[in-house]
Amino acid sequence: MTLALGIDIGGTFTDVVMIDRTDGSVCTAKVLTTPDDPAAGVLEGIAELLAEAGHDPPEVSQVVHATTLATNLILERKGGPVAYVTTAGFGDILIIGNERKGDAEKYDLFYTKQAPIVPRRRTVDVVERTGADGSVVVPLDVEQARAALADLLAREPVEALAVCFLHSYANGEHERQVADIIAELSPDLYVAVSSDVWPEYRELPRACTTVMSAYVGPTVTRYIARLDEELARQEIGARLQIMGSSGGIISAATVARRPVQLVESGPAAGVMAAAHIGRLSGIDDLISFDMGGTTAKAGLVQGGQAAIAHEFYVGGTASSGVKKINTGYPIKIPVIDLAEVGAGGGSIAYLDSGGALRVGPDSAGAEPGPACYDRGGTQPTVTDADLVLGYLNPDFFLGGRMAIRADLAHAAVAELAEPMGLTPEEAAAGVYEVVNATMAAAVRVVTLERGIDPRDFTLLASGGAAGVHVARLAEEFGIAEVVVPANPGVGSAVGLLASDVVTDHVRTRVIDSVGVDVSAVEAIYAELEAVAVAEIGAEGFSADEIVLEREIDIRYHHQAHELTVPLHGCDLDEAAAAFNELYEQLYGIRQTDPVEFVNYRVRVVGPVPKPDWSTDQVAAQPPMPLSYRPAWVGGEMADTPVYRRHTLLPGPTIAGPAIIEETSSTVVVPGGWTASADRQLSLVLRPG
Amino acid sequence: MDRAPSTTDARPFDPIALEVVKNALGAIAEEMGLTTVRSAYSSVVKEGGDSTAAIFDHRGQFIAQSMGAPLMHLSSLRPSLRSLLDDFPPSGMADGDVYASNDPYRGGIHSNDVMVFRPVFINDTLAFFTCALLHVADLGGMAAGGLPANATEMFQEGLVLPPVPLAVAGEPNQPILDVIAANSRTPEKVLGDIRAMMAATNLGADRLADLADRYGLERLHQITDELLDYTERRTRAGIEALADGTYTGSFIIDDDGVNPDADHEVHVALTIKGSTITADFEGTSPQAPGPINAAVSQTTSGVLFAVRCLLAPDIPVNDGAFRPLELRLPPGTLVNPNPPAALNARMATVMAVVEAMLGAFSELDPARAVAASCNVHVYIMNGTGGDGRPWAFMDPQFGGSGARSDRDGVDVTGPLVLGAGGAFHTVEAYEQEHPVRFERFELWTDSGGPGQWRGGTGARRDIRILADGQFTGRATDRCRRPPPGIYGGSAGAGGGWVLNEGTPDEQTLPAKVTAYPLRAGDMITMLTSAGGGFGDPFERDPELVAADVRDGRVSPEAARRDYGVVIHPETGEVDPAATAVLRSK
Repeated sequence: MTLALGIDIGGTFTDVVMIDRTDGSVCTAKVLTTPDDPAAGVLEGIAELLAEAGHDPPEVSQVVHATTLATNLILERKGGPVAYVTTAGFGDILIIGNERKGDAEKYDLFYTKQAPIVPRRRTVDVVERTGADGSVVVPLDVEQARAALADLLAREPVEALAVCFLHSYANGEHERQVADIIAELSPDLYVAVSSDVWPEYRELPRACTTVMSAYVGPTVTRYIARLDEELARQEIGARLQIMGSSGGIISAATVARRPVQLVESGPAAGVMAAAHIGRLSGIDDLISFDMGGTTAKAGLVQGGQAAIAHEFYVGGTASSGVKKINTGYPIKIPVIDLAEVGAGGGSIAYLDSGGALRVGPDSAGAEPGPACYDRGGTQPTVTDADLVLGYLNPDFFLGGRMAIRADLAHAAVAELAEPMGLTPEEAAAGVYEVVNATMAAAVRVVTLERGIDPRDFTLLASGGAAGVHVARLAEEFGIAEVVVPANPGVGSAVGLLASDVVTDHVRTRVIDSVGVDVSAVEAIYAELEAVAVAEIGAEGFSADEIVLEREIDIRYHHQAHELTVPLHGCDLDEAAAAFNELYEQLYGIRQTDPVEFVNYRVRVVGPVPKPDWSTDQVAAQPPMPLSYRPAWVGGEMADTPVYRRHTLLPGPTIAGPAIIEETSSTVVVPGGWTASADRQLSLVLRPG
Repeated sequence: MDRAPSTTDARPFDPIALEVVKNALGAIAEEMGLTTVRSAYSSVVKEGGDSTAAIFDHRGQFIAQSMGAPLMHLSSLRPSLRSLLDDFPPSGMADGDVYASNDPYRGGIHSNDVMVFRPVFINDTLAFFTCALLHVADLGGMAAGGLPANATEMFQEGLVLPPVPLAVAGEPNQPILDVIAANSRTPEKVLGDIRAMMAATNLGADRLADLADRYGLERLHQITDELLDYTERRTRAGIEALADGTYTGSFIIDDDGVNPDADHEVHVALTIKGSTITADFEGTSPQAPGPINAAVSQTTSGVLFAVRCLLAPDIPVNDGAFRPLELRLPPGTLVNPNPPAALNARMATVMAVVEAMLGAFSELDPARAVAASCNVHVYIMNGTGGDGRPWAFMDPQFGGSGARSDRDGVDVTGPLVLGAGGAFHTVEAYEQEHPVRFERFELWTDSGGPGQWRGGTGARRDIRILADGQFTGRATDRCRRPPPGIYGGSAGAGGGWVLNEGTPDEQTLPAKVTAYPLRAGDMITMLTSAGGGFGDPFERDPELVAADVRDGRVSPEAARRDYGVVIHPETGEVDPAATAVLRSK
């Protein structure tokens, strides 16, 4: 019982990684995703790995899964029909939304709001009202609620209901009563209740979080149950666990209650992998950079911890390529803080009507894909440009498993180059520069725009295409260290096995710091922790192995926004001081006004042993280049040494310009940079 | 509009450097903007993002700005920098100088919108200007916060700053800072805001020096010139695609803050000729006694906003975008007032400029016609708590936008030109902090202007005050005269305030009301104006009317009366026979 499996289902590939906890050995499989029945691909990958390593299914003691299922249900609007039950007089807040428009929509005379997930006709107004202090202002009219719900269920086909009343974070009694009425009327319906899903104040985000839970809940729980059953049928010796948006592993039971936690599952795994790889290499402060087919993402790890945000948006339109102007539905749960831009390997390059070279956000995706894929794509993409520049090897794409055609890339890029009066190589170099400038925006958002100097950080690349671009990106910011982990193409799956089991809980109650009763605050935490400890106990963690973490949200009197700081024990003075400091760091002013405490957050962590694949191997001599090929260095095509990655062991250093290839990725070492391998066989690139 | 002479360009147009430098300049401006927001004291800025950072070249041409920067700000920075250069020629400027101004008659907006400019020297050459603008907390005048609805002169709106040096060669110009502080109710906050802007312009200067290092200053200027030419080229190409001709539009403002019953009209004749647009406002009403007048910069922003609605959205906003536009603004009118006319409620005129421009577009191309939309509505409730501490909150809300030629207007959203700010106020947050209870926040049934395409609905928000207090309401026009429909569509509902609706004490309050006393238990109903309809409502697809009835946007009675559609009371379906009878009348 020593094997751990990580499974990451992406749009094109399903990555499976297996770690033997007895010796730290890692093996990986990459199989095509089977969109109609994702479990099929997963089972195939697992079978392949177990057979290769000579293990049996019962030896598996942990299975952790990341999935884009919930995200796709929302993006493609494929969730089931949901009804929304709310306080009478407030049935339109999902339709009104936050009255915010993206930058690109500002000048659009034909702008329309997205159709709401729940149309008004599937909204039920219930006569009840709770006050901000949790007191009942208008008692729940049980008969009115029952009649209105029965009428709706008779009239509308509904798969799930979301119940969200005003101030239910302070007193969820009315919500629970309504949930009971629904259970009496129709026991099989999925019901999400806001005071259970995420009882934090601000009605619109809480309502959206609850509605999205109801929207994806039935499909997600069915899928997870089916995968879990299949694993059991294959005699896998562990129950399925899931990567949550916050970078912690959650149980299938938690997913069923709060399925919206799956929305950022895959990206969270990527940042957790970066954090772990950094930790193994002794790097505590890093920027994770992931380059995919249509987008690039950047995340931040500080002091070994992935940065967490407490709100994010789903289902909106990306604006100006950067998902920055927040459109769509606000979701209030802890989430790994990520910036995403619409630029990746599949991004299409074109000349706009003013003659400027633009790259993305339109992407050729996986179908038809870049011109070089020979699947009917004719527009030049970033991947085509990288091929023309000699950075990619047409005979060794995905380790030679996928044939790509350099002549098609060349033809597509030549067409772009002609009106500019450039050679195809010069135009490809232009595409390379422009896409790097676009992707830089993601790094900028998580660093400079948060008041953080990126020069103090290491840039850690993941995703097959990132190694080609990452050193150039580092130059843009004056970053002096780049790390490309071994097997960067399956990085996210490694993150699944490098994360702890967590459970998060929150409570809102506004308490003035002046004359605060510390024991009342302590009581709130004690209550949250009791629930959390029981929850994580069900995952097999005993009280002496778990770690309890407290955080508190604080704001100045009458300010609209609070900040989250750690709370040690119940030392509120220390937390208030930390809040003053954080406020000064973010806003540049030192305030001494009295504060109030708003939200109380508890995270309980069940530690999981982390994989370590460090090697003691050392090489005395630098490896010999496998070959030389023309590649774009220093403004021209020049013969450049090409190395196979596995020949580079800890010890020696090779000087750029150079290209280092492996099965799932290619790394470009620019002139003036050096590359070496560390004990985890990560490539470390440094300028000068 | 005038343009700087383009340099003789020895190197060919470089489409790659253009895109990379455009990105780099935008990133610098964005970082400047965030520095301002982070350091600013003004809560409007922190919560609403009401600030802008921008970069100009050495000739005063506007080249880049922070994301989301409103055109109202950008249109003001441009002429304000020119005024600065008139008073302080570049030959006399030194590294470390910083200037400020806010004079609405020399490029500014109104007193509270303060601008800061820093000349950037690179290798002893004046290379760029970095600028910031933000709405400062208070600069004096007759009302705290600088928005007196009854002002009749700019002197009542706060301290006026012609271009003045804030720092000389890096040394703060203390006497000027002292004057500013002495004229504010919140001197620390105002000085903090100004320091935030100075910090942003300093940061921009450092980043521009790095960029010039990479390209060489001369080459960088060539590329920024290319960027402006590129923008001009794309803007002109967009205009050229429009049919030549002269088109007219007008819009009537229903209240100027001083005379609630006076009409004021904005009239525009828009001439498209080749790749140029001339907007001539001859025929616009004289400047108003109240504060609805728009400084030239603000009128310009309304015109540019409307023009950009006709062009590709990814065309950058910089000096090149202004070049094909010519404005003719008769002096002494709403759109180009003479001093000392008051200007703090300019949104009424700016939005009227936009509506008049959109009206002209509908002559140009009926497919692009848009019926009139809401304007912003805001109220303040305040009082003194049981603990003796004063409490107050401000709650801005929007209404519906106008119907289009092929679709309905948008329900409860920012009017087009505002794009809606980041302000995001929730009922739960207000109730935690203040003695109020919200009893309703819904789409306002039957408010959207009937038409073949319906206007977007306004909102209805009921606020009950639980302790004695006061109410100040600002409905920025479109109350007495609701947003009109177009091509046979009807007007949307006009906004307003009702006290204790449905009780014997029911009373309609004026659109602009200040410090109205409320007793504990009183309820204010806020109604935000709704968009006008497009086309004959009897031509509306009955199924769409039935859907509106199911979703509560239209009542069954209004379906019958306004649309000639009979909805079966039990099934909610259209009754085709009864509908045919009604519609044949």
